[in-house]
Amino acid sequence: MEVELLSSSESPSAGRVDVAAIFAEHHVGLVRLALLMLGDRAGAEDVVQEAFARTHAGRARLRDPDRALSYVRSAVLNGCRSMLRKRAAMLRRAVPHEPPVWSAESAVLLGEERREVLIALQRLPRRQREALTLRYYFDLSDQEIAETMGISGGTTRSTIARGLAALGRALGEGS
Amino acid sequence: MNSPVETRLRDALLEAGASLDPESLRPLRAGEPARRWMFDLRIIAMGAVAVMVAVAAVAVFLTGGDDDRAPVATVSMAEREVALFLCGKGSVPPPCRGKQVSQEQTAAVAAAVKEMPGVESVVFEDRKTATDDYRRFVVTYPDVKEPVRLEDLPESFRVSLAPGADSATIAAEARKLPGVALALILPAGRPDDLPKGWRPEETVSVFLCGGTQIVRPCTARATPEQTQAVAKALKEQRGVAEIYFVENPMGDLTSRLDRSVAGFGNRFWVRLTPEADREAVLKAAMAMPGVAQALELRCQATPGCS
Repeated sequence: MEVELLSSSESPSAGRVDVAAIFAEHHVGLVRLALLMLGDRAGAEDVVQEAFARTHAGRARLRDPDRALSYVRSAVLNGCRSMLRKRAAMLRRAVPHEPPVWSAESAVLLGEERREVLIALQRLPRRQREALTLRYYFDLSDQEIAETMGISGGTTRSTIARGLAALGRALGEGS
Repeated sequence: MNSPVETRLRDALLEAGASLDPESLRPLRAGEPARRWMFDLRIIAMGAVAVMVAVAAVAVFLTGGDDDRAPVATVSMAEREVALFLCGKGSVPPPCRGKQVSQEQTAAVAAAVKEMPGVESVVFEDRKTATDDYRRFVVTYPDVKEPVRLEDLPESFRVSLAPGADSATIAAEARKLPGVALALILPAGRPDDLPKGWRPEETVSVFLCGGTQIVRPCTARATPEQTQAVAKALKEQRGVAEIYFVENPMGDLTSRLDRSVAGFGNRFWVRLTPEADREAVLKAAMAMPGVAQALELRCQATPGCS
């Protein structure tokens, strides 16, 4: 996969977080995160590109390599929230977007069982949806999820527990 | 140990995530804002929505009030116009690959489409006309605040079809021509085709799930049961005089062929009496499962109405 990292005249200096390298390494995962949040690939790629452009432009302010990935995930998550808000407004304006991957109209062919689960997930409150995706797709720890979402560890745990319970009810199962 | 819900969730997320082919991802580029594919599509959509608001139905007459009668009678309707939106300045939907349509391509599209069986006429709609359409759209929907650079609005061809022409094939073939960004199959009908006694300003349109232009996150094409329930709910609204149902089988079919070939789903036209609460009718429609969008037909979008 081709990834243009930095301009040729620029190289990451000591003490500066190499945002481009982080994005390069995690590009696919970040687009998948956005895809699971938004439902469509075009929007997911847009969000990640935008997050990359913004983070790259402000990379001088990033000094903590240990938290850089978490910051980048947050940027993507925020981009998804922003796009979902725009789309909510666009719903009132009859503007199209690609059918979500979990819809029957999507070109992506998912099994009925998978689709049922994803639709139930989409109906959960945003915070629960995000926390469950970060946990069960990316296997992030409570602390990593908390940092990505900007919430406390305790809130993360309770959010996941409530989300799983709600999902279980929606799917007709006990959690 | 994972609970059944956790296992199901993990499996579903894995499968959805795996649907994305890493090799096909657009490379990330430093200093480059997000591509304008969504933006372009939105601009195209505004032209399409202006058309959608302006069209009327030729369908089956339904009277309200008798719940024992089948609430929905259907008629299949052949489309008679296809809009071909050309790649505009800065367009990056996949068919355009970032290139604006050239004069030669524009001429070639017109020539090729004219030769297609079932095509009666091909009319070029320039940027100024597109701009006028958009401005009318903004007047109709004053809450539209998105900044749109009018010079980016796409040019298009409006292709009129003969009765019985295969609009899906024509749209799909036309979309393959270099310089064409999107082919949109327009529903038949014009405001002057509204049933006798119907006026655009007293009409509401309710689009059902199905078709690629659907904006609400529909999970599936509206089922017959949902359609009947929508009809019933509409008829129960205060001030609803009559409803028409228009079936557009192409909407769903074409969405599965090619994302760049779009069609409209089935829809209702709803005639309101003066005492009707428009907002309540629109809200009631939007609250129903299987409804993608409810819109008002207003004078600004339909020249000639008073």
